[in-house]
Formats: sequence, C-alpha cells, structure tokens
Amino acid sequence: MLMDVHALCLALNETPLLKGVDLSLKSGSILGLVGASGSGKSLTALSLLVLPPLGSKLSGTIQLNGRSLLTLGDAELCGIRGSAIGMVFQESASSFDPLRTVGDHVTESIRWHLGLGREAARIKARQALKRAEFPADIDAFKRYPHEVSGGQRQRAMIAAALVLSPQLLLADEPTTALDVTTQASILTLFRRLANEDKMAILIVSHDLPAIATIADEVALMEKGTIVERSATSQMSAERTPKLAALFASARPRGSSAQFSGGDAVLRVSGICHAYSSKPSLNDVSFTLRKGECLGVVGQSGSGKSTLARIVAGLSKSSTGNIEGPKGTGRVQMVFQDPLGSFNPRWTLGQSIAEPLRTSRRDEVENALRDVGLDPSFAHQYPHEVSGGQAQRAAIARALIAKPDLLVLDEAVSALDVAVRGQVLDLLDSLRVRYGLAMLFITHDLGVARSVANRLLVLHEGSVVEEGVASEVLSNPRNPHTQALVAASPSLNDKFFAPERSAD
Amino acid sequence: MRVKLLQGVGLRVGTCLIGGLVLMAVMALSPWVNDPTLIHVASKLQAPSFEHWLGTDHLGRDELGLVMRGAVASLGVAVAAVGIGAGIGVPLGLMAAAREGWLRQVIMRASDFIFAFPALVIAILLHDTLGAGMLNAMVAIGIFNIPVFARTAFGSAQPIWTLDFIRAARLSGKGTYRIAVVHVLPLILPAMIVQVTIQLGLGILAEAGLSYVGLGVTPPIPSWGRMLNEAQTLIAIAPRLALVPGIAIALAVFGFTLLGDALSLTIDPRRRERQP
Amino acid sequence: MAHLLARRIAGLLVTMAVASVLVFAMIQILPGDPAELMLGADARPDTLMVLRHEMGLDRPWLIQYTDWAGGLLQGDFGLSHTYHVPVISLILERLPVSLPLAIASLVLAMILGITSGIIAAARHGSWLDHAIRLKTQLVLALPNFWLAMLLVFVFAISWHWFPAGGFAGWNGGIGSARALVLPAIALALPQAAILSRVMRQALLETVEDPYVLAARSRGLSRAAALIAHALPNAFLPVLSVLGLQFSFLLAGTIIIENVFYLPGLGRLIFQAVNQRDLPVIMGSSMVLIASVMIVSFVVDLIAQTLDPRLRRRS
Repeated sequence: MLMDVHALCLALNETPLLKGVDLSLKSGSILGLVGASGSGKSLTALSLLVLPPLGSKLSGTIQLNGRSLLTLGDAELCGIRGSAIGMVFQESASSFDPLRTVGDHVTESIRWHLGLGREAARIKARQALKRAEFPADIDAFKRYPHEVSGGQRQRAMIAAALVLSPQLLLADEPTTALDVTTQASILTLFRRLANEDKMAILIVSHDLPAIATIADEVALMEKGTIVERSATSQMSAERTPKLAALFASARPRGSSAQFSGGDAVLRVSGICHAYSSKPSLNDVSFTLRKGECLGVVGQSGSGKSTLARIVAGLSKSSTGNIEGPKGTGRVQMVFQDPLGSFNPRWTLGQSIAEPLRTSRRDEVENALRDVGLDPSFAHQYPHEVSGGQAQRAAIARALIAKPDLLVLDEAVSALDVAVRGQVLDLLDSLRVRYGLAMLFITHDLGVARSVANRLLVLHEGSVVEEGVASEVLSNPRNPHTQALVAASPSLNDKFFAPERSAD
Repeated sequence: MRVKLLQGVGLRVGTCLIGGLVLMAVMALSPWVNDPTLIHVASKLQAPSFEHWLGTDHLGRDELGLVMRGAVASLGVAVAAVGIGAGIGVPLGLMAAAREGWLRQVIMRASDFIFAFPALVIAILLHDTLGAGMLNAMVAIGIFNIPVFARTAFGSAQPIWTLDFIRAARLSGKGTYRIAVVHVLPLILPAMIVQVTIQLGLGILAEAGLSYVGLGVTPPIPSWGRMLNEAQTLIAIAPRLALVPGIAIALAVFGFTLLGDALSLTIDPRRRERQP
Repeated sequence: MAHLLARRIAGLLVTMAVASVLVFAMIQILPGDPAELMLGADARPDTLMVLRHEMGLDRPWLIQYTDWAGGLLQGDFGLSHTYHVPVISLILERLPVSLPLAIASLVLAMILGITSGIIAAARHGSWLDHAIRLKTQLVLALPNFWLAMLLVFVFAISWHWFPAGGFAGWNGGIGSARALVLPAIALALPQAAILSRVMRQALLETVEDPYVLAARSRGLSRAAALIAHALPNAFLPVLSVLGLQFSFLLAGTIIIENVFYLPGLGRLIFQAVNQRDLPVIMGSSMVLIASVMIVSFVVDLIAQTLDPRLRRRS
C-alpha cells in the first residue's frame, strides 16, 4: 500500500467540504474517482498533496509510505510535492504560465528539487517529454503555451509531473477538455505508466466510461464522501447500485423510433468556408428532412460548430447554397453552455419569450411544461437553477416559436452524465411530437448514437462518411470514422453487462 | 466579516461626504449664506470668528462662503464634464464593441490619440479657442472624459458580445442596434456607474487644476483651485487660506473614490477581497 | 521582427503628423491676433499689416502649415514672438530642468508604488494592507499642486530643508539638485499611488491563477511560486498603466513647475499661453506630445519583449 487515507476531512469557514474520505492507493494500480460536480473529487486530489484552498483546514490521516503527511512542516511537504507525488491538472491554457516556455515548466521542478544547471535539467526534461509522448519534432523550450495544442500541453504537464519519477500521480480531469482520440491516447499513457513504472495513479473525472477503460478500481463520491467503490473487473449492480446507475445513464440507448421520410427542410450543397485564409469547411452537402435528427460528429477543429452557425444563419459561408426555412425565427439553436445562453439579468420567462413578437404568459408556461419544467420556473434567474434545468429552459426558448429546424451545438456536453440522458430523451420526444428537423452537433459518439437517426462525419472540414447512425457506428468504413469509434469509450459495451464474470 | 464591514463603512462615509458636498453647493446658492464675492479690504485676513466661521481672505471675503460657492463650480463642472464624456463616450464604446471593422478601429485609435495628448495641453489649446470660464473647463474635461468612457464601455461590452444569448437574440430576429440597447447596455450599466463616480472625483481635481493655472472659471465666481493659487503667496502669513480649499477638494474627491470603490465591490463579486 | 518594428515606427510618425495638424488647427481658430498683441490694440492698421506680412500670417493656412511642419522636421520651430529667439533654443534651454525632473519622479514613483503594492498584496488583509490602501486613496484625492504647496510649507518654509522654489542651474553640481527634490516628490506621489493600486490588484489576481497552484504542486514554496510566476505576470498590467500615466505626469510638470517657479518646459508653455506666443505654444506642445508617444511606443516594445502572446510570428 503506497498511500493510505483515513477519515480525511476538509472544512472552509465551518462549512465541511470533505466529510471523512477513506481510500488507499497501490503501486502499479489506477483508481478512478468519479462523481457529480461539487462532490469533492478535485478537493480530495488537492488534499492528498496537502494543498487545500486558502483558509481551509485539513484533518484526518494521510500516510505515504508510512509517513504521515499532515504532520509534516512546509519545507518537507515542498520536498514531497513534485518528487514523490506529481499532479496533472485539467487542461486549460491557464495551468501554464503564459510567460514561460512549455519546456521551462518541466525543468522547473528539476531545478527546484535537484538544483541542476540549465543544460543538465534540459536533458532530463527532454527524457520526460519523450516518456509523455510529447511530439519529438517540437522544441518545447522554444514554444510558449499558447503556441501548442491542448493535447500537447497536457503531455507537457504530464512530463513535468513525472520528471522526478514520482511514486504517485494525481490527475484532476486530465482529459476532459480534449478530443476523443487524444483522450484515448493519454489514458493509454496513464495505463502504461502504471504498468511499466509501477506508479500509483489517482484519476478524478466525471466521465465514468472513459475512466473505466483503464482503471483497476473506481470509487464514487457524493457530497464529500466516498459512497461506493468497486474493482472494475468485478462490478455488479447489486453491490454498487449507484455506480451501475451512472453507467446506465451514460450508456448509449438505441436511437428512437425509426424515422420514416418526410419533406426536405434543409438542403445544403457545396458549402465552403475559410477563416482568415484557413479553410474550415470544404464542399459540405447534405439534406435534412422533417422529423429527422442528423448527427454531425468529428474531432475539434473539424468544422462542426462553423457548420452549425452557417446553417443557423449566424455566419455566412464563402460559397455554396443553402435552401432552408425562410423567415425569422424559423431556425433556432441550443448552445453548449446553459449559463451563457441566458442574459443573467433576465428571468427565464423573459428569455424564453424573446423569440415571440408579443409574449403571452400562457405561451411561456406551455413551453416550460413541454420541456418538463414547472411553470414557476419562469420567475427564476439562470444562476438559480441547475445546468440541466437551464438547458431545458434553453430548449423551451428555442421551441416556443415553433421553428422548422433546431440546431443543437454540443447541447449536452456541459451537463453531468446523469442528466444527459434525461435531456436527450426529452429532445427525442419533442422531435417526434412536433416533427422537428434537428441538426445535432457533438464530439461524443455515444451521445450521437442515442439521439441521431443519421450521421455525418466531418474531418478537417470535409464530409468523410454519411449514413444511418447505427450502421456508421457499428461498421465505419472511413479510416477517420474508424479511429473515432475505436477511441470512444461510451460506445464500448465492455462494462455494461449487469452480471460479469471475472476476466 | 471584517471586509464586509469596511465596505459598508466606505459606502457610508462616501455617501456622507458627497451628500455634504451637494448640500454645501445648494446652500451656497441660497440667500442665507454671506455673499462671498463681497470685497471688504478693511477686514482682510481676519482669523476665524463668529461672524466669519473660517475667517476672511486677503480681500476681506468670507472664507466659508467662498468654499461653499466653490463647491458649486466644482460640482457643476465635474457633472457637466461627465455628462459630455459619458453621453458621447458610452455610445461610441458600445458601437465599437458591437462590430469589428473600421468603425471600431477608428474609435479606438481616436481614443488612444486623445489619451496621448497631455490633458493640460488640450485645455491650453481649448483655452485659446474658447477662452477661460466655466464652459471651457467643462468642455476641456468633457473631451478628455470621452475616450475614458468609450474605452471602459468597450472593455465591458466586448466580452458580452461573445456570449451565446446574443446569438439567441439574433435568431429571434433582433438586429445589432436593438441587441446593444436591450441586452448589452443594461449589463454594462453597473460598470459605467462606477466609472461615473471615478470621473466625478477626477473632474473635481481637474477643475481645481485648471482654475489654479487660470484656465478655469473666471472671477468673481469662486473656485477652489483659484483660491489655492491666491493663497500660495500668503502661505507664510495665513496658512489657513491654503489649507481650507485644499481640504475641501480632498474630501470631495475622497468621497467619490470611496463611493466608487464600494459600488464596484458590490457590483462585481469577483473583485471582492479574498481571505488572507 | 524588424519589419514589424518598421511598421510601428511608421505608425508613430503618422500619429505625430496628425497631431501636428490638430495642434496647428486649434491654434489657428483662436480669436485674437498675434500682431495686435505685439503692437497693442490701437496700433495703426497698416503697421499691423506689415507686421503680419513679416510674420507670415497672411499666407494661406496650408502654406503656413507646411512651412511650420517642414521646419519642425528640420528642428526649426520658428521664432518666439515674445523673446525673438528661436523657439528651439528656448526649449533646449529648459530641457535640462524638465527632463531630469520627469525622469526622477518617474523612477521615484515606480520604486514607491511598486514596492508598496507588492507589500500590500503580500500582507493582504492585514493592517498594513489597509493602511497602504488608505494612504493611496488619500494621496489620489489631493490636487498635486496642493500637495506641492504643503510640501513647500513643511519642508521649505518651516523646516528649511529644501528651497521653496526656483532653480539656479546645474552649475552647483549635485547640490543644485536639491531644488528638484520637492518638485519630484510632488510629482511622484500621485503616480506612485496609482501604480501601487494597480500592482496590488494585479498581484492579488495572479496569485489565484491556476499556474501558480500548478507550480506549488511541483514543490515550489508559496513565496517561490509568487516570485517566479505571479509577480512577472502581475507586472504586465502595471507596465501598460505606466505608459498611460506618462501623459499625466507631463501634465503635472506644467503645474508643478509653476508652483515651484522652475524654469522648465512646463513653465515655458504656461507663460507662452498668457503671452499668446504661438510658435512657442505649438513647438512645446509638439515636444510634449512627441515624448508621450515615444514613451508609450517604448512601453509597448517592452511589453512585447516580456509577453510572448503579444509577439506575432509570421
């Protein structure tokens, strides 16, 4: 047992944030810590480094190789951080000092702990970068954080964390902001580090299917404690009902009632778009019929969002033809961030009524009921409701003027996994009820499978595959599609059987 | 919490100071106060007495009355200057934020340009066109306020335009102009109000500076700045004359600063003090 | 990179040109005639015409402008109406006073402001922090000429540490700098207050940035992470404020030189305004504007060197 944690408590100003967390970490094994936002997962990881938020108090025991961390002084803790324990944060350019090169971040801990000179430190740093699979053709010591991609930054951060060969690696949402394929390769890297270097790894994430592909054990946190835990090879719905439920909600459901032809609502042909001389869309064409949901999938940068905006009429394409619903308000959109979709000073009711020329209270109330919200929500403000509720309200606003076409741009990506299923079900039922044509943009193939009838796969601005959703996903023909499917954890049915025999 | 307390104190002290200022100005215009423009050389440089609470100046004028009348000039100029600055600057900033393109470039370059001109140079040059007096002071300070408000409005409005609810508003059929008025303007209003209080304070300082060098309100209208100029040569004999107007200016500006700080803390919770 | 530099310098020159047009235009609209001022209101009309012709005031504006602008580029700012000497020599005479004054107060402001800002942020929430903030707000509420007067009153008149005004020239060596001490302080204090506020706010914000936490997770102590990461990033907004504040500093010198009777550029402008000495007004205004633009140009360059995000790669 490398690390033992007992009764870990964290309190900030009398408010308890962690209420007695117990866990143990073994060399060479990976523990996945999952839970909804606010459950305390990130705080747990930070507490293991004894870096709680300013002004809060940690209590309990944290034993690393028999040493009790909470009794150590500042200098000793500084000696442990970065050398015995390493940490990787959620990718965002802000985890890097914008004034220093990417490589400098790796040499920083070498020079701090070992006092090596610049050249000696760089040699070690380059080794670590190689281990983290940072691209060899990029000189990390000449590039600044804003000049490399998200995946590359993440690898550099991993390199910085493991350059001194720590025994324990903590990772807080390490792949959440990344592409599906990059996510898969970084998760594989973690597995390799555990197997080959015998590192103990703790990965915090809200994405259970992704974690389950590499973790030996998963634990579920709720409101500051661990409520369930299980080895991934021995998951059972009886012993860990909440985990099983979490899996179930992330599971791709079959797409809904077969869609059986209707008039074409949208005809798009030969759309090209370039943004400051970089082509972002290349000869995209498709047709969308009434009552049909077309899923548009692809990696980030494939042009999905640009296409969504062009179809909605918010951007103009350079060339090409769009025959779509005419008139204001015939095309509506639901956006990714539920909070940013609303004017913070308007009540939900006011926002929902915006597409109408003259707003009537009963129309707003009906719209709310349609999306499963009580009419009293009209008086709430966006920050007062949960993400799922806000997104339902966004759907209500989009549908109140009875549009012909609904464009959804990553509409469930920002929601907790448990809530996603409900919103997708809602969209399905609305589509069938009102005969809506839907264009659903997503990077998550599992979501696409749940909601789309047909699928359009984009790669670097061009359509590489098109067809019935279930077929494209089970038998992808284009190599790019195949790569996407292979990298998508939520399509992987490995863990979804309720009864499992030991592998 | 200690900080919340300070915030409340700041708000209250600031409001008191400003309230006092306005009260002084109003009373100064009423018939109850001694007319400070009455020159009575015989009673010059008297120490504070029952008849003249702050004494008299080198021309026998009532010092207290002068200070109160000076509040009128200071407030008047500051308010007018802010009116000009915000009235022109905020719409310009809003327009610049609404669309990329040449309009934004022009407005931003022009703002940078005016900033580059030392404010006093503008006042000097204006003085030559308009002459001294209250109008000159208002316009000079007002012109300098325009880029300040344009910049602040632009800075506050620009991030709002990237948010999704603006796109939703477009899809509902609203044009750029309507979106700017209906959505963006109310959202930047708090920041604008804070800027108004800051500029009011700075306006009082600017008016004092202009009057000091003779470019502000002309005699016989009393002005704190000019009073300081006149007191400069007498500082050894009657330091009181140099202290009183200065303290008045300091308290007035300080009041606005406190008010502005307290307001900005209430508006933007991100700027609230974090615990040590 | 050199090509970028050339573009920016070109931009600077264009702005200067526009500034010169504006300055010229504003002066031209003024009511009142320099010739009349020189000869008096009841001079004979034909004498006035002769003088106007001599001074070149009867030529079309465009010619007057190009003449003047052309002269500027060659260092010829024309003749002062009051003193009948080349404006450029008047300006050059005054520079040895104004320039050291501006530089000294800038340096003083930076030292005072930045250190107090860092201290206030490092001791955030303590009495020291509040004291510094209060002092900052108070200083900013004072008109700088009043501050100057108070300084004179206390240090010159009451305590006789420094002269109350005037400047005898540099002949006395370092000792003659004593006359510049009080003016420099008066100029520096408001600037220091602003710098202190910005530094404090910037440091408080950068300390919360995620990359500081990331550095701590690698083992850096709190102080090390602050110095290595939070501080350099906090300097960026301070630098941009510094650039902006320079024009206010120059405006301040005009007033301060008057309070202290220093024979500097500011005093020159001021007297020229009263005497309607157009060439002097225009010439010195251009010098002031040029220095502001050069300073902000230099500040921009420094910012680009420090912040890689501002550099554009081809």
